[in-house]
Amino acid sequence: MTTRDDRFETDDGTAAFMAMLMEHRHRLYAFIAKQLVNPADVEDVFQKTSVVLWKKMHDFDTGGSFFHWACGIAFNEVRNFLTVQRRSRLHFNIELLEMMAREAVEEDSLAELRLGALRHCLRDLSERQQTLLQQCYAGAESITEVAQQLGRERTSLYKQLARLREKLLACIRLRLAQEGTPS
Amino acid sequence: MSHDPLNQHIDALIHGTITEAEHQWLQSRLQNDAAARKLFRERMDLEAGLRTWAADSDLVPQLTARDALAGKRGWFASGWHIAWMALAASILSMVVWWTWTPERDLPQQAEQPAGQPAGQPAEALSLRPETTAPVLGKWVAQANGVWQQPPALADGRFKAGLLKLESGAAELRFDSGTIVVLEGPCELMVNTADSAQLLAGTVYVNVTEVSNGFLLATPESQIIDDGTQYAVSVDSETTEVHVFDGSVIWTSIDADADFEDRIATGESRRYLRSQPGRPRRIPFGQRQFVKRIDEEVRQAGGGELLAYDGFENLAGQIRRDRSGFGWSGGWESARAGRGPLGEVIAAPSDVVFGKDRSGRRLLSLQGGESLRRRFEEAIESQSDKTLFVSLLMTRQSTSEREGEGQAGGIQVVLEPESASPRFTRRHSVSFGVTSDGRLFLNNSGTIDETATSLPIGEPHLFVLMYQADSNTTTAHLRVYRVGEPVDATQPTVWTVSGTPSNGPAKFVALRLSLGTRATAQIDELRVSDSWKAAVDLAN
Repeated sequence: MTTRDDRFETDDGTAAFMAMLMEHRHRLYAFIAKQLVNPADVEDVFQKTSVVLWKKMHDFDTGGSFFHWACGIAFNEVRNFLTVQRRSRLHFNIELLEMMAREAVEEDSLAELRLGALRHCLRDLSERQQTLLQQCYAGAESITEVAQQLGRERTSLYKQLARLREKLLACIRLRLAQEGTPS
Repeated sequence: MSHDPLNQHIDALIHGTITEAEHQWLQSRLQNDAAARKLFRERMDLEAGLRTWAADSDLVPQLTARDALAGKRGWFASGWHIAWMALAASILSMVVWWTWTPERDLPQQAEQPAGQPAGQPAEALSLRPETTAPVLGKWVAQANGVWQQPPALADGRFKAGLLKLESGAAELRFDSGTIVVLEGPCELMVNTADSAQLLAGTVYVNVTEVSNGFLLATPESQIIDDGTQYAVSVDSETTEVHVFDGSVIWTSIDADADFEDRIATGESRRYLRSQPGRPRRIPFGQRQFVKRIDEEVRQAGGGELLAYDGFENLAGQIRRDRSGFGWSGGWESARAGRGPLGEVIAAPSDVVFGKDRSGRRLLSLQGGESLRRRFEEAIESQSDKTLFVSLLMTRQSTSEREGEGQAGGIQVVLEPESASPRFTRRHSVSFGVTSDGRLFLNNSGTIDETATSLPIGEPHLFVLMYQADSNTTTAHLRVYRVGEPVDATQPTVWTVSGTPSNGPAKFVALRLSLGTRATAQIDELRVSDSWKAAVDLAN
């Protein structure tokens, strides 16, 4: 019988861990985003969480849910982050964060479906619209900076992004409804 | 665009333009309205999905040297997304780094560049003419390293100069205490024992606690450590800095650019060479992270080591959770949270009980110091599960004064969970040395001692065996002197056999305490559920 330790004491253990981290990476990122919102903060905590998960991979009960285990560690990292590093930015209080973290875990399957639907909906956008979203979401620049780079009015870009988001949300809701999932 | 205040405030929160009053309104609404929270979650799923989608789409050009590393591993060749291949390759890099045990793995290659035939004499590999450059430290060769320009060597020690590593990895252990790991392809100009310039590629820098600091220059900046582990990547346009522990200060070498950036644990920055005063965050999926942990010992323990501290802690104090595994946080003073925490010092260059301590560290404790470290999870003994606690202890000289009866004692204490200090004290299990040098074992208040004294100034291997069943707890102590063979399996004869007691089955912390006149050196602290893992110090 392969025990938990057997599995994780080998190179294959690292591979198994990586497979699980990769499988759940987007959902874990979304889980942290629901609490911290700011992309730079989310990425810092996501990175720390990944390192902690890796360091603690021997503690993971392979019979349990990797995502739920990872969310528990991610939430601790969110709390540490808020305690230590980011007093200057506006953040929700801990009671609300705990409530949202709990509900996010409960709603995990819906979040996963949303992410899957989003990928489909993005394909329905024009190439120009996809490029614009990539320019606004891939880099480290703010919307104002992207507007400057594109030689566009900031307000105009905000409005266009808002329309694209509304379109994507509508598309996601429609796809989920068609699949019989209430959004 | 939505004109609903909830949506507007969520938009403002996402764009970072929300005011404090709006934030309070939004927080209150979310706290009291489940439907609002559902909308918020939906919106954040969209935002997160767009971030990860865009980052994944944007990453294709980022993959360069890491592809080669990925290609060497079979499991990597699956259809995983390209963005995460970079991340996974970084983790493989970590594995490569921590599984380097050059003293164990490749002693014969210590003075020859990897990539050359292994059997070739070192003299034949005289790679560069001897120079008069100063010797700066020890070069640790790696099996997978292929050099374009290897370091100039003298007796296995490297000199100042330019190094070009084509592929694989290499480690430089500076005499100043700093460790620099190169990941090929990499070009590094080593200047002095505490400075180098990264011209291209990636290095991982570990400024250990014995180091006075390290200055790493890049084409546009200087990176000054503040007690840290960090990695730096330089390519033709950018420099990336990733800090894993501690912090660094990034300064531009442009005298006109009055800019300084402090990067703390977990943070990373990208600096464009064209705009050095303007750091960029590094988006999701594009970060590489590397961290060395005590994986090597953990793996050697075969999963039977529950907690370990070799006191090889990096770049700081033991208060910070930097060394070992199986603990929850670092060491803390057991004296109401205040007081000194000992000192991590260089271990003697000896081999004791199969453990080569050259270049290693240990914990030096002075009179009156008492420190505690909590386990990550409570450790438990059952009828079918025996606990072992082992450590190397060197009792230093004591200057006993009249009237200071317990002042020279040294205790290692397993503590149960309790809010009551009195309960904890009465139900702890401890062992150690009395003021007059006799070994003792305290099984929850039942004390046994030896008649003979422990010599001063010699390291001894202490091993506690502890077992709890439904009614009684059993404790035994075995102490080995240097040169004495260590039993391969659990012995039947003990140095101190404890009287059975009714102690606890579960412990939450370990404490090291010295009397006011005692001094001691502690090393290789292990908590395990097997005899072998407790005494097999060679691994």
